[in-house]
Amino acid sequence: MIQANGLTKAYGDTIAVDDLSFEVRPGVVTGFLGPNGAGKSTTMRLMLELDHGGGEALFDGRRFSDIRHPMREVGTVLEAKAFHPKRSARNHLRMLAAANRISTRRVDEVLAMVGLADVARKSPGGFSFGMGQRLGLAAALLGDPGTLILDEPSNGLDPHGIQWLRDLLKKLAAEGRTIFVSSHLLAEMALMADDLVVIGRGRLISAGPAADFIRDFTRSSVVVRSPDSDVLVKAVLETLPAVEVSTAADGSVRFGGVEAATVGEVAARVGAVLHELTSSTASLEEAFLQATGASEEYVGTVLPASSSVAPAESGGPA
Amino acid sequence: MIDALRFESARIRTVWSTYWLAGSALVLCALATLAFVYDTDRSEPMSWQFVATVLTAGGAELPFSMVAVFTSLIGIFATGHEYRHGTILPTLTAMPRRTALLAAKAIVVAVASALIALASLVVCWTTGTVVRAEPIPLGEGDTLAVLAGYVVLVTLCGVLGTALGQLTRAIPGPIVIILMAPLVVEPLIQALAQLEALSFLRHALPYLPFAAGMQLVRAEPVSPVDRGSPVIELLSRWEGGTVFALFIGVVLVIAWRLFLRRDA
Repeated sequence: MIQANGLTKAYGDTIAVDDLSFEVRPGVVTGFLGPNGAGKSTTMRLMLELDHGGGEALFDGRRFSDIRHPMREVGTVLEAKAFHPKRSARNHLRMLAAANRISTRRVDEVLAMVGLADVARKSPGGFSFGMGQRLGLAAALLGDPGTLILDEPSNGLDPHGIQWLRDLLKKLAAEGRTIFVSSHLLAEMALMADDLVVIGRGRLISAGPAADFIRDFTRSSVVVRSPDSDVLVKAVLETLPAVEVSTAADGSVRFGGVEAATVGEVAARVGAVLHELTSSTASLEEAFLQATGASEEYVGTVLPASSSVAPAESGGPA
Repeated sequence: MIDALRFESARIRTVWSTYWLAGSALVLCALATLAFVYDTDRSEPMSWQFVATVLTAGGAELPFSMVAVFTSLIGIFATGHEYRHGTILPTLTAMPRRTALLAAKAIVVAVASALIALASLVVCWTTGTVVRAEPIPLGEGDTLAVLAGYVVLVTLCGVLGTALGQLTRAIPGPIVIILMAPLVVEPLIQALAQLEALSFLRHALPYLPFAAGMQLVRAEPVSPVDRGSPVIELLSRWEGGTVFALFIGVVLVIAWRLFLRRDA
């Protein structure tokens, strides 16, 4: 169990993390979401006391710095390629293991677990980003910890690697461990996370089960195909004036903020023929965009088509 | 603390720079000894001052100890590499007690530096003995005191490198300091002190840290700085060593306080 209480971090006048409190339960994978610059990495660094700020994070009731052999209790990946390029992967892990009285046999085990056994004695300077990420994961798993804190661990992994990571984290969570993982890959998070902590501009937006987050931040909708759609729309709006109605180019009608059963009952009452009545389930991405839309730190724009680079004028150099 | 020492011991033993720096120091020691001994009349007995100079690869005849530069680099890498390669993050998640970590780095680098100093003495003695075809005497005059001072100087420089690397969280800056301070800055201050307008600097000359540290390997009797007037008495071997150690202690304490306060 992780308890974050009032985590706060400011850089001058800029508040990066603002009185953030949440809990991470054991036995499930908890995703940590937020737009770029929301303060996810800073929050994780505060939790591990790498950065100084307000508040505290407790791991099974203890601060990180109070744990004598932290790698045996809390495994972390904060940055890919955080290793000396000339120290072999095996020696990198042996060095970390020495501080936590972990055997060399375990070093070889985790290298095999993450698929780096064949390059264990090679200098990691030439490792790809994905291989570096795997070495970081090996370090996190070194002490067989009950808690994992992973910052964007799937960055750089290929699809097989991502699937391997997902299965691994779900398996570790099923063993009763506490897994706290940040990611920008919302589709991946939707498949992996049971709980979510969502932040924007350093503040908590939501914490709890992923299903609740999606439900709270999206409106359920129903898609209908009917030759009597005009009649049906009129009847639904008479019954539920707050329902949002939109018509697609293919003639299907979407009713927002209403259950399929309600639409079906109205259709039966007015005798409208239905060719399709489908509940549309909102995705995590929709919920995330809805929840964090106002919290985006860095917002891009789409250039208008006419603003492409002007062709060079003919003539000699200026 | 034991865990921090285990970590740091593993760290210093698993990086190539430790070995090539130590090896380079020993090779240069052998070459320096060859140059010194080969240039003398091998039928004449060596004075104890010359023996001390040969065994310390130049001793106080050089502006700064050659081997001390290499152990300084080992110290700089002990802390500077953590920031250059981003390993400070896994290091602090494996060993979050910062005071113990920095203390362990200083201790392990000091031990490694002392071993390198001792190894260099063996290399220099062996090289000199082979070239002269007779054992180089160790027991005459203050030879053993100079050799002890040499081990202390080289060891202190390892700790200084560690402190400077931690203070600046970089590698190039500390290297510049280690080379420029004894070779450029302090000689410049000594030269400026000869100007009448800057005569107040003369009182500080014995306490310039690197000049004071070099008293540890001075084989000649303590001599005054007599380039100008009035004559300034230099510190004795162990007084100079103490000044140098205090200077390093101050740098280390500042580095430690900042290490505790700064974000990783």
